[in-house]
Amino acid sequence: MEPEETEVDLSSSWSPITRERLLTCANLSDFAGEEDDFPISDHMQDSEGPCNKRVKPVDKGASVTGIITPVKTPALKRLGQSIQRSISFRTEARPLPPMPRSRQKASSFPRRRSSQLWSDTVDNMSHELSTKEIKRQEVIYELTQGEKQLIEDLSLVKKVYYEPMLKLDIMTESELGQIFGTLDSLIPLHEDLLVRLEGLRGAEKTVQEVGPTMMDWFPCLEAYITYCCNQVGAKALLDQKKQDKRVEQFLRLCQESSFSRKLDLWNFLDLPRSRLVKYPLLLKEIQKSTPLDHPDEDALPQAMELIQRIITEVNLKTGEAECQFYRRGLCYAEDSQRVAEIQASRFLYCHGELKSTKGQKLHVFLFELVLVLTRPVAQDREGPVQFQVYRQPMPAAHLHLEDLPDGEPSSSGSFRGAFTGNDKVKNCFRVSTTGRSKSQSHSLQANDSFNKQQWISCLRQAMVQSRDRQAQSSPCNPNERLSPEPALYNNIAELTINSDVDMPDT
Amino acid sequence: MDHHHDLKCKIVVVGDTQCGKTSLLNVFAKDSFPENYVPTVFENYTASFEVDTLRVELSLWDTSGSPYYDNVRPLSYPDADAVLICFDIGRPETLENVLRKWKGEIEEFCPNTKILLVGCKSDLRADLATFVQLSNDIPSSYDQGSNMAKLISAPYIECSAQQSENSVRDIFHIATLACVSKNNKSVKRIKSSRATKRTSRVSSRPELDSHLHKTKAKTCTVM
Repeated sequence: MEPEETEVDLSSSWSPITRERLLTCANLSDFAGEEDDFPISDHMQDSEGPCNKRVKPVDKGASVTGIITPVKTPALKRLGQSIQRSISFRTEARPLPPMPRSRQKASSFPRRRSSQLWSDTVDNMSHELSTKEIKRQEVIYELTQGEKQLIEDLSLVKKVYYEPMLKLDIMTESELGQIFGTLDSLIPLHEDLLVRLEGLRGAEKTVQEVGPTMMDWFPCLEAYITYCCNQVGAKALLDQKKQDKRVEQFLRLCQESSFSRKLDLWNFLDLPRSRLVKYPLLLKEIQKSTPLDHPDEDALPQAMELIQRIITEVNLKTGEAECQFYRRGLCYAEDSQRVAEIQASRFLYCHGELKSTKGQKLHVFLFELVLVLTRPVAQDREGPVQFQVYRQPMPAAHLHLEDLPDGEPSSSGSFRGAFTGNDKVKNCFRVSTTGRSKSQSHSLQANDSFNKQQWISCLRQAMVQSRDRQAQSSPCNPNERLSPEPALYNNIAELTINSDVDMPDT
Repeated sequence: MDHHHDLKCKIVVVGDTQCGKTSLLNVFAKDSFPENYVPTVFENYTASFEVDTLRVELSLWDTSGSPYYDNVRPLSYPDADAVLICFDIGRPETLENVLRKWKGEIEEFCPNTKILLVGCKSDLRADLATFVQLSNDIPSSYDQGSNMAKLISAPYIECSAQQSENSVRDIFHIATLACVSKNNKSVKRIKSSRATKRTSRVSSRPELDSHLHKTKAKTCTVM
């Protein structure tokens, strides 16, 4: 047991992204004894069976008809089918289509929501409407139902996750505040939209104009900036807390319960962000079905422009939050490593694992203005991964980039020594600087040619834009350094408000 | 207890906007193409498969392909076991973006995740003459998709959500196998020596290739 954990810890020190997955594997090995290895192998062997069987039945259009079920369903799936059927019957009395996946969804919201159309809710008046108008009503109905669904899910998160974990003292109020962010404050916004949309329904449940309502409502989505910015840190903290057995156990029980539809907490916490990017798609579909001279003709494009602007802002601020998150994760061995460009960078071009000439694994960050080489170190077993800055960070404005051809020995013979028996070195490039600090040079190796190309592309972009910026004006720097702070201030303010709101619920 | 062990897999579906991702997911979830209205939104959903005593919980995530969301989209990627990169067979530029945009993004955020390349809307090839009249593009051929898949070291599968829900089901079947294969390898990696690691890596590919081959045969059968 312990040796495995040690190995996992060692592996996880390379990259936070890999760490998350390896922890999942560790959990898997906890549940799986040696016996479980065999069933997994069985699955691999049996996987060919279903493939072969599926070739035989011919696909028929009338898939809803129960008659063809015996033909389509492989023998192996019937067991699952009967299990699903019994589950479904307990949930709903009415007969269900004989599809395994449909039955799986019988007890979940998505099926109820997605299977119901606007035309299902209207009696017989729809034949008077054009096909285009029916389509338009369907999209508006989908928009409305989506709001209802989101409200239900966000309320569920608060009632089933946040409040119990607070009362049971599974996490501190501060930790819960970081993980859930301002989620609670988003619910009233969507309740407002739902009321407005339902108020638009006129005779025969049709909606005439929807554009002005959306235009009027979209500005309140600025609240999403705070929520989405918080998510980068929320994910990291949630992963860290999951290593606590009480937290992991509670979350697993929730996921296995029917109310969660087998979605985990991160699925639910991601719902607001996921919903935000759906609005342009829905508006676009409404626009397609809106004829010329319709009252919505002018309002819809304006609403679209408005939501796009808001999402662009959310996207920009989220990038800044990510940059800030990784910047805070840096550890400095010497104060001279704290170059101004690190603090002044507004976004992260890319980051990932590269190898040095000594075969050392480095986690490299390309911030807007500076390239930082680091070695990942785990603070302690349960702490977040931090990155020890390696050598001196290299400002992009002073960087030189050299593409090293594959197959040729590097001019510095050390690469050959590092990879014993490997005469050819692949996917390498060299970065060097002769700036104000001591000059240095590093040869780095990427995983494959595409990864290398991505690094080279990002580095060139950073170098070009950094020099352009340097040439333009240096007085801009002080202002831009200050720009992240208002967002942080907002976060703190929102957190305080959030705490106040939660007090009465305790 | 062991017999009720669940294997959880997360699959994220990415690709250019309007290339068929949401239809793919909706058809899989409902096991049929909707007759009246195709939903615009796909809500995250977990499907269950049971094979012998192994139960797989497949968590499906839709994403937005719009460049407006390049900083926001990565919040979908954590813990992904497999990523489906989708492109629209009727729009060759979406195939080019597989390499230009998606491969790089996934490399950065999911460096150890299985990748599958999915060609959507394969039915557009059936009536080539009509298609060419309607648009200025010629649809991507199977070989073009297959060659791109080789470039990114991924299996290649095609589907038509509109005409063949079987092809959609096959994609997620193969994706599930990729997840199971990955988890299996990861477990072994923790327990076994280095020599075994190499063996596992070598052995996993022929199986995927084998499935790819069968999928190809199946596609021909359907056509």
